Amino acid sequence: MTLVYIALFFPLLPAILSIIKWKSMDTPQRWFAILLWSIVIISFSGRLWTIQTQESNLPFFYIYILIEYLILLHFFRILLKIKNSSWLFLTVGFTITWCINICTGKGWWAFPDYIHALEAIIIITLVILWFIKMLKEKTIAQPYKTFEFWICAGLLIFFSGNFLLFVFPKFILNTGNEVFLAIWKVNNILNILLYSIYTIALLCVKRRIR
Amino acid sequence: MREEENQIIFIFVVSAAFVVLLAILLVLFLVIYQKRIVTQENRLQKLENEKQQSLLKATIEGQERERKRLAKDLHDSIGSLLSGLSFNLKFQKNLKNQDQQQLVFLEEACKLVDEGIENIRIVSHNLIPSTLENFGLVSAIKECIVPLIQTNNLEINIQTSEEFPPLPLEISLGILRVFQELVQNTIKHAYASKIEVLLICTPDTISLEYTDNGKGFHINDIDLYGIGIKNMQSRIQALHGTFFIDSKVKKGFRAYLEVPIILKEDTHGQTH
Repeated sequence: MTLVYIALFFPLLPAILSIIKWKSMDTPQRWFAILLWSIVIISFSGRLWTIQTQESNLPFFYIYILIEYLILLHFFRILLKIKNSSWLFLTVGFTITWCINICTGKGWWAFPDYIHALEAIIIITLVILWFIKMLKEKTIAQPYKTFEFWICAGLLIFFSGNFLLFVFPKFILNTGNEVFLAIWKVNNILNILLYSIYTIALLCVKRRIR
Repeated sequence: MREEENQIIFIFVVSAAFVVLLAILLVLFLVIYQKRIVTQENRLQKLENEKQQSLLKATIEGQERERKRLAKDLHDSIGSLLSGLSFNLKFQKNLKNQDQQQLVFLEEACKLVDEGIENIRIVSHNLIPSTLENFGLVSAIKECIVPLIQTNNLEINIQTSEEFPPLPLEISLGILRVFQELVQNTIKHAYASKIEVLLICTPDTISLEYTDNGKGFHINDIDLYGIGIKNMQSRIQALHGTFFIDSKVKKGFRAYLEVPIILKEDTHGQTH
């Protein structure tokens, strides 16, 4: 349970840092800060909902996935200069898939499976595209000193580490709740790792020279 | 928990750990690879710059050599010819039994030839200022402004460091050429009445600050004055120096250059 709470409160660290660094941030970094605060608000709302109603907070998880995906897509749209048509296709396509996911079967109350796996595939692809861009442009001599590098590294580690969990959640759930909770700890650890990396990324935000 | 469930947990956890490890290794590889290719790229860029620099230097040296040859040819061949002609005309003029018309004609011819000799002397002197080699940069600068003050109604103030160590000819010639170009620009475009020059020499660097009170120009219109400014930049770049210009409409013009003094063992004659 401690791990769950650490994972719940950990996003607060980069989120607070993003407020401190707000003035020094450029447009994609500010979008990222908005993402962090959205995550904090949704996570805490979900937890409060569960405490108040004693019901599952899975609907919040669906909203979390959609918002995370849309903001990250916009973030990469600026970084990779994605064409409007491709961006529109990825946005509308994913939103439709998301709607289908919540309108079929158990809907809001079922654990999201393919929608989360789809998000992971798209984000990992975008991260790899950014790494390729970095290698091609040869302008960043020390990537570990840049905000974008740490964000991409964090996303790659988080989504690849969680990939099996996102692809086979139903199988894990079918084996029993205890197994699911044990495996879910991996997600919590990766969450803590992700937000630690986000914190490092935010520490790399430097004051802009006007 | 059953054995089977434990196995599932183990497989998932190990798989996740393995994938995370792979991702971390990929990121590490990217950092190292990126650093290596950027370092290599910078090294290539540096080599390219050095190549450009030596090309630039060779071009400027070639230009100076050609100027020197031209000045020598003008002085030695055409100058000598005109001196001979002048001598002959004067001899002819001093002969007795000449009518008045012939005398006027010879006098006029002598005057024209003397003017030609003087012009050739000035041109060849401008092409390769011997004052620079014999008396140094400050004297050469002061010498080259004398005719400009007289013909263009300009006030030129030159301030220099009290101590002026010997400079390699390459550096002093480069600075003199840039100064000449700046003055020419002021005369041609600026319609200025006053030029201020500050020439400072330290043991490591020599700097020149040049300002005029002319009409100035918008710094974005620099292309209109392009070739001259590019020439000056190239000359200073060839000397590993820095060159800045600044101007505003109706606020005059300012140029600043700084060149490191690299004393070579063979400086082809030092200047003072």
